[in-house]
Amino acid sequence: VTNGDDAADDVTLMAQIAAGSSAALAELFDRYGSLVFTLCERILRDRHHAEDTLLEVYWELWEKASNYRADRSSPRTYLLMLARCRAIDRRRKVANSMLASNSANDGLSPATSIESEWPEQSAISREHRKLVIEALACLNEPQSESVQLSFFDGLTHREISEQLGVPLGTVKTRIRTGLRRLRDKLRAFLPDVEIL
Amino acid sequence: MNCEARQDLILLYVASELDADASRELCAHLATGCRTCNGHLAEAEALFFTLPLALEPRPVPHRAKQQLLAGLNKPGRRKVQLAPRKSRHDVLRVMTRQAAIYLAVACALFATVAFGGIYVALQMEIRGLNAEIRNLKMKIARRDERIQEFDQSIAKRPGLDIDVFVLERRDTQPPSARGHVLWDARHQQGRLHVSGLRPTGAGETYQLWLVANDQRRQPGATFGVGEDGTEQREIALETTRDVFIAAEITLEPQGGSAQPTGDPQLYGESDARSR
Repeated sequence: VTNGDDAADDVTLMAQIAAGSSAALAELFDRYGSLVFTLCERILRDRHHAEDTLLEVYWELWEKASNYRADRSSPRTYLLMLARCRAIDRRRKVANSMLASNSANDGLSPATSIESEWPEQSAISREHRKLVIEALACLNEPQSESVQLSFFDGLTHREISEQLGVPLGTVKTRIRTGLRRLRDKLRAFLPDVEIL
Repeated sequence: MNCEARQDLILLYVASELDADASRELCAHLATGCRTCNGHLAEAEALFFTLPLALEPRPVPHRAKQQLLAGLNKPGRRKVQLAPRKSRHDVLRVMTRQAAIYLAVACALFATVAFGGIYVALQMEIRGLNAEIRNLKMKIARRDERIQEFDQSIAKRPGLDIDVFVLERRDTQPPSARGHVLWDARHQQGRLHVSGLRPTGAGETYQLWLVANDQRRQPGATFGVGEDGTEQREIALETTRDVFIAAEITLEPQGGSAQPTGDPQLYGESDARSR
């Protein structure tokens, strides 16, 4: 859900980072640092751990930028995949008691309105954010909850089933249906910009 | 399964919720280069990773960008991982291991002290026994000397015709081996006293010989010795009028021999002859 120019700019930045340009890395940090940090804080529920993970992700990107393949995903998707993976790794290493002190309603959950916005320098427009919020709002509560536990908490179907107290098959159905509905809502915006 | 049917599987695969067998099958298919499914995969990843856009934006700490740039190309900068927190089970395991080590060390110390005490006590006991043995040997030696002096004093009494053969050891006997024979030539009888001889083996016996002027050996008594190598006994010859100049003790087969067959163990000439 970025426009084509932004995605093309991101790919160019990735190529420059692979060539050793720290200025390109700084630019990519300005564009997506806030998004990566927000995702890490949502997964880890701890600001200091989120900050450490943010740095780890960008340092890893700096070292492995040459591994990035533009025909597989956009730089933003690649960055968020990396961030989610590292944040979930850290979450499993650190004792849950250190991270789970915050409740789910402390501002870390997906928004229901677009009152707040991403920083001005980021490559995420108000319109993009509005689309995703509306798509999520189309899911019913059980579907939204299951998708969020899967994505933001990295829980397996079985863990979600135990946490929500519903059968495993129900969880699979909720997630599959929820993702399908999201795809239907957002598909119109995905192919042109994400699959380059 | 056709590519259309794989769309749902791809959604679950991106969400890491596809089971292992289905994941393997899907990966194998994607590896064939199927454009449709790889396109769906990219689409699903893009879809999945649009979700963070809906989160309430959190401001990045101001120092983060500065730290990021300062940390580029710095070795070891990624060592910010936390050590896994120890669980209660880990703590118990460490405590158990430490307790076992302390117990082993305590046992080793106790064993060292105990065995050391036993060793010292045994050494003192052995030293005491050795001293006792030395005292007993000295007493035996003094007793033998007194007996010999007494026998010699008897032989020197006026009016008595008694020869004294002081027996000295040969190399086959220990240094303490000695003896003497008091011999009353008139009555053809006498007394033998030996000490310090080594005990005889099975089937062996000591035998006394009286040596005549012509070196003939007249067989005397056969005898054994006690644990301390001592023996005293009376000896007598029946029908000889020989004059004996020496006495000899050899080791012979059990029951004795008519003539010496073994090596001399003790030998001594007459005291009068030696004078």
